[in-house]
Amino acid sequence: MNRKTLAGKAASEALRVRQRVGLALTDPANAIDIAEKLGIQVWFRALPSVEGVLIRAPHPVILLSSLRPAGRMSFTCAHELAHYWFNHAGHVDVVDDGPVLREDNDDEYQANMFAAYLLMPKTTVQFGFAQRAAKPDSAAPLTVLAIATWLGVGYTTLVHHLRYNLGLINDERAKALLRQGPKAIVGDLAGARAPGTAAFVVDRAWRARAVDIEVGDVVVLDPPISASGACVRIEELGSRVIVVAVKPGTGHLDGGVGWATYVRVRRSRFEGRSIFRHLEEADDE
Amino acid sequence: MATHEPTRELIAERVRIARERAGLSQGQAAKLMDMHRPTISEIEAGRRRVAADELGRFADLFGVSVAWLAGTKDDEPDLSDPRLAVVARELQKLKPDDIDRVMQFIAAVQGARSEEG
Repeated sequence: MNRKTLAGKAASEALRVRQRVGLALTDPANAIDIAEKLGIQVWFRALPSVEGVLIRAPHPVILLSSLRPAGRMSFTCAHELAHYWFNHAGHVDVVDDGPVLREDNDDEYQANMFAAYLLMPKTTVQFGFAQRAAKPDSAAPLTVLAIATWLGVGYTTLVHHLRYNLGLINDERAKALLRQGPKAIVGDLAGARAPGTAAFVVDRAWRARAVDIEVGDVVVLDPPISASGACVRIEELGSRVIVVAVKPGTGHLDGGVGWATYVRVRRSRFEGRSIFRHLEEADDE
Repeated sequence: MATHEPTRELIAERVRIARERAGLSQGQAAKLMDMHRPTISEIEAGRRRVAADELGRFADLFGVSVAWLAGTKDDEPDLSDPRLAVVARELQKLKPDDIDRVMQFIAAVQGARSEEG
């Protein structure tokens, strides 16, 4: 099969999976939640030389390195899900600094395409821009970052997908967007509160998914915002609000009339079964 | 696969390892098992026997096989399944420490109850 055919098959199978777990065409997806819904156990362990592993032992298990940024872990989980869905044998992906996982053979290429279309179907991406009254070829980097956060993927991953898979932007535009990284975009807003690498922007167009962050992460939002739950703390910062994840648990953010979202905070660099990642500490500890 | 007579100490150690690998504190595990936290520490210290039904519930909670938790299965994975042999071969690309950790992980989860829908 040539690569165009492989990509087409990957995109249509990704849509089938989304349908199977009840995601609307305009809903963002969380790859870890999808794997769990399909009955696949997902585990995190601190493995420096690993991106992800698919094991059939004999039931399917996805093992992810807890040492990667959240967007990367999500993409890798979707990639391993592809190996499971296409019934590839068990699989190991080694660490790589490239924007996507290695694709030195057709299975890898197809798994990357599946992951990209599972997390970023064209309809969902276009809906994300439309909801923000923006277009891929002219949106501000901050808007693109808000969409990447909403889709649960890295900023660079989204820009590459817009350019090379969806063809919604040209080379020049991709280069312009990549000139400023997510850290710099959020750094402009959050100043010294911007974390090392994690950079999250949540706007009022955010819908249909929880804000998934880990202890220590900061999220930039527009005021007014109130929070319930002990997992986050709110700080005013100039014209913005910063939400700081302080301990594991779930809560919600309320932005006044008609807008609210759940927030889920996991332990920093959590190691363990994914179903326990947002678990609050027990009272007697 | 080598088997051996399980000892309370071995079960105690495996309960602790499995709980920690699952990402649970003693308090969290106790709450999910509907036990008191001191009961978990007594079990992990080898001072309290684990009943057969409790062993099954621990295994489900921690995502490991009863055989591994009970200490009747070695810390080495059974690679007779060809799909696991593929993984074992591919693991050679990793750093030695990571290979060991993944192999131990496979040994523990192998044979755990499936959640496949």
